[in-house]
Order: sequence, then C-alpha cells, then structure tokens
Amino acid sequence: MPKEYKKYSVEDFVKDENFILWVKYEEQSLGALFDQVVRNYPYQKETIDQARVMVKQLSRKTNDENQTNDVAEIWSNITYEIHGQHRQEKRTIGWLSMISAASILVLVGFGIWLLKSGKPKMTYAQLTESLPYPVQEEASTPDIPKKIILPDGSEVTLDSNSRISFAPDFNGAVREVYLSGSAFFNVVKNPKKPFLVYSNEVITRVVGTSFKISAFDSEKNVVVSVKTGKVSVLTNQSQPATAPQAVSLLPNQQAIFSREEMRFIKQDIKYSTVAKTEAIATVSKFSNTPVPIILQSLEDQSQRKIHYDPAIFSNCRLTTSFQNETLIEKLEIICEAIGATYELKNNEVSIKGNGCN
Amino acid sequence: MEKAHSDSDLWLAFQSGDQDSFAQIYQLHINELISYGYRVTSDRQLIKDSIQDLFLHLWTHRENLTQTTSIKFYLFRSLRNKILRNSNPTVSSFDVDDHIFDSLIDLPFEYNLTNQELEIQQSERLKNAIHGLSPRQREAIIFRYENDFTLEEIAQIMKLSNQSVRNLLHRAVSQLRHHFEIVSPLLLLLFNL
Repeated sequence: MPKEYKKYSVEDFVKDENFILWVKYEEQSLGALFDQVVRNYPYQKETIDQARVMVKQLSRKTNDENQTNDVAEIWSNITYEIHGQHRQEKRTIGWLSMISAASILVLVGFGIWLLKSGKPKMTYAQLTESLPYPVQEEASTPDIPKKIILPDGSEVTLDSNSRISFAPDFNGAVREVYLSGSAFFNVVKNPKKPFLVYSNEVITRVVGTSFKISAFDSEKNVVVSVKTGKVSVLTNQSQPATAPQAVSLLPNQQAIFSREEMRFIKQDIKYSTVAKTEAIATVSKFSNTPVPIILQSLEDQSQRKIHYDPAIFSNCRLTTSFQNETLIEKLEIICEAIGATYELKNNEVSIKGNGCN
Repeated sequence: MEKAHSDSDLWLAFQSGDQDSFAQIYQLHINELISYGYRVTSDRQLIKDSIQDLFLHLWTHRENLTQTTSIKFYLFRSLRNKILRNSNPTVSSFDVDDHIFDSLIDLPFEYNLTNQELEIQQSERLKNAIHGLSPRQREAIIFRYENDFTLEEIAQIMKLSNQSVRNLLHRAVSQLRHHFEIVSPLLLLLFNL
C-alpha cells in the first residue's frame, strides 16, 4: 500500500487512478486496498467518503431526455446514406454519383424554371445584377492569375481578365458563384451544400471536385473540363428537343456549350493539356522540414497571410507532399500532425498550438 | 488486454465491410458521444451532423483507416475534430450549455427516499460547480470521469500536453471540491446510514 495515502486530501483521492477505478467499477482488489487505508488511518475515512461521493457524481452518465430519439435519428440517416451507396456499388458506380444523379434532377427542374421565365442569352452582368443578396467580387488583372479562397475554403484560380462574384458567406442551401472568364475550381466536398457555378448560359453543379470553366462573355463557347470528381453541367436556355438538357462529366471529360446552337457537345480530353491555369498548382515535397518553412511556402502559394508564432513551431518537423489539396486540406494535415488548430477569418489564417518537443 | 483484443477484432471486422460490426460500434459508443457533445456546445444540430459525418466517414474510408486498439478513443478524438471543423470558426467553438447541466439533478435510483434531499442538494451544488468550470476544464472532467480516458488519451484528444491536462484536472477538481466542502457533514450521515 503506497504510504502517501495517509496524507491524501479529498482532491488527491478524486484524482487517483486506482481510487476512480474502485469507486466506478468496485474492483475487489482495489476495494481491499482502500479498506486497508481506512483501517490503518481511521482519520482518513471521512476524506475517502467525500472523495467517493464526488467521483460517483462526476462519473454519472447524464443522458439527455431527447437522446434516445437522436440516437435513432442519426443512425437512420447513416444507414440511409450507406444503403444508397451499397446499391450503387453493385452497379459499379460510386456512391457520389447517386448524389450527382439527384443533383442533375434538381438542376433540370431549375433549368426548366429558368426556361419558362424566358430569358434570352445570359451574361455575367445580367446574372449578378439581380441577386437577392450582397455579393463580393474578385477580379484578376489583365495578365496575372489570381487565387481566391471562398467562404467554405474552396479555391478558385482566376485566369487573366476574369472575375467572380459570390456571397460573403455561404449561408444558403447551396454555394453559388458567378463567373465571367476562365477559372480553375478546387471545391471542398460538402454533399449537403452543392456548389453551383453560373457562367453565361451554363450552370455547373458539383458537390466537391476540381474542374475548369472557360466562359468569356465575348466567346462563342462555354467549356467545362473536369479534372477530378463528377460534375453536372446544364444550361438555363431552351434546348432543341433532341439535345441533352444536361450532361454529366467524369474526370478527363469536358462539355462544350455552343452559345450559337445552344447545345452541348461532350468530349474526352487529357486534362493536363487543356488547363494551363492549373499548372500553378505545383507539387511541394517536404522532408523533415520545420513547420514554419512549410507555412511560409503555403503563404507564398496561396497568397494568404498565415499568422503563427514561429518560436512555438520551430521544433515541429514534418515530412509530407502537397499537390492538389486545397489550402484548408493542407492546413488540416499540418495541424493534425503537430497538434495545432487553425482558424480562417477574413481571408487570413491563424494557427495556434503548443509546439513540439 | 481482453478489451483491447476484442476492440481490434471488432474494428477489423468492420474494416472488412461487416455492417453488423459497424452497427455494434455505433450502439456501443453513441450515447457517450452524444452526452459529451451536448455538454460542450448548445448547438445540437452541430453535434448530430458531426456524429453523422464521423460515422459516414468511417464507413466510406473503412479500408484506409488505421488499426486501433481503442475504438472509443478513436471516436472521441475524431468527433472532437469534426465538431471543431464543422463549427463556425468565428464563434468560440466550445460554448457553455446551461440547461444541459440541469439533468445532473436527476437522482440515482439506488438511493432511498431519505437520502434524496441530501442528493438533491449535493447534485445542485455539483451542477453549479461544474457550471463554473472553464469549457476545457469541463471537457477534461467529462473525459476523465465519465469516459475513463487516461491522462495521455485526454491529452491526445484535446491536443494538449500531458502536463496541461494534469493542470486542467487539478484546477477543476480543486474548484469542485470547494463546493463539496460545505455539505461534508451531510455526507458523513449519508454513508453511515
């Protein structure tokens, strides 16, 4: 029996591993131990009794009155999603395609609605002028591409002479952005909040993927090229009966929408040959590199200020390589590895943690 | 070791695609995950969404997950990360939920009627005392006493050093003890009955 028990305070007992195990699980050998403590030091009985009550109280599971319902509700949501996936697997199509299939339906409905409203050709100016909410606009200069982080962490690389508008927060049921010109998108996956890009007469819908859109007001075609994931593209314009209202694209496919003929053509492509913007996303390899150096390179690449205390993280080293991850994904990887947390606010990042030994 | 062994077996079965094992993991841990979640934030939808995300992620990525000897630890650590990620970064992530602690007034069944009044006072005091803890202290107390995590596990879940967790618990227990002191004569009575 450890001698120090004779001097233990209530707090000491409450924090004692053996004491907790005894109170909670009434383990025999431990019970004998504490019985002996009381026998040897009778004045400790009151202390032990108090500590016992305290541990018992602290250990009580406190289930909420609605908890049973919540347990069932969450499980039914999970199984609903999983069984959907299961059926899809049998048809050798991924689970996400089910969501995309649903999204095409929704979009077709939406397209028809727009069609009925009878608008002719759509330009960026027309699309953005009548929005029911204030938008933030970002534009690239004539010759320098610009990288933008959207409120959900998705990244957009604007080609030269391009602009994009979006709500400063993505509070609605969908994430909507309006594009004029050409841009590469790397969208953070969120099946609950589809991501929609409006560009001229074409609407591109995804849940999380990377793709490029080229839609200048002055050009004849709108082109959507897919790098990863699955993308649905449709038009808000009236279509000849034989032409598809919407096309669904897989990686290395693209849809060309002819603004003259108002129809889509679907093509296979080799992604790297079409997307020059995407070339800015380079591969970065780090081998046992101090974290401040990695953060510096992220800062340079993303053109985003990253706040952190270099003194705290100077001892943290990391081996990793980044390629197509979004800034958020990269931050998550880094923070996970060094036990830190990050916060994105006003387009700036701050990282907090306790450093490494 | 017995528990660790069955945990890794259950985990392996789940990873190989066994839906019953997956359901079993949910059944075994869902109540403690919800209890924890509802006490660190008042945003219940956030907790429900985060738990749903967590289990869907587990299922869809099951083949790529690392082996674990403590499923519970794995779940708590992942859930805490999910809550932090899903919560609005502009709002302090872990806020106090006042009314959740009302449930502490509930009496344990094993005490008889004569003890109930004492119990109520006791629980009332504890409720107030826990309410007075910082969010992190409260989290540490929940992990330690309700969920039996070791100091090291709590440190990993909360991304703190072992010493920080020790300090958190020390301060929390001292603060709680302060509120207990007042009822000590009653406690004596309680245990001598």
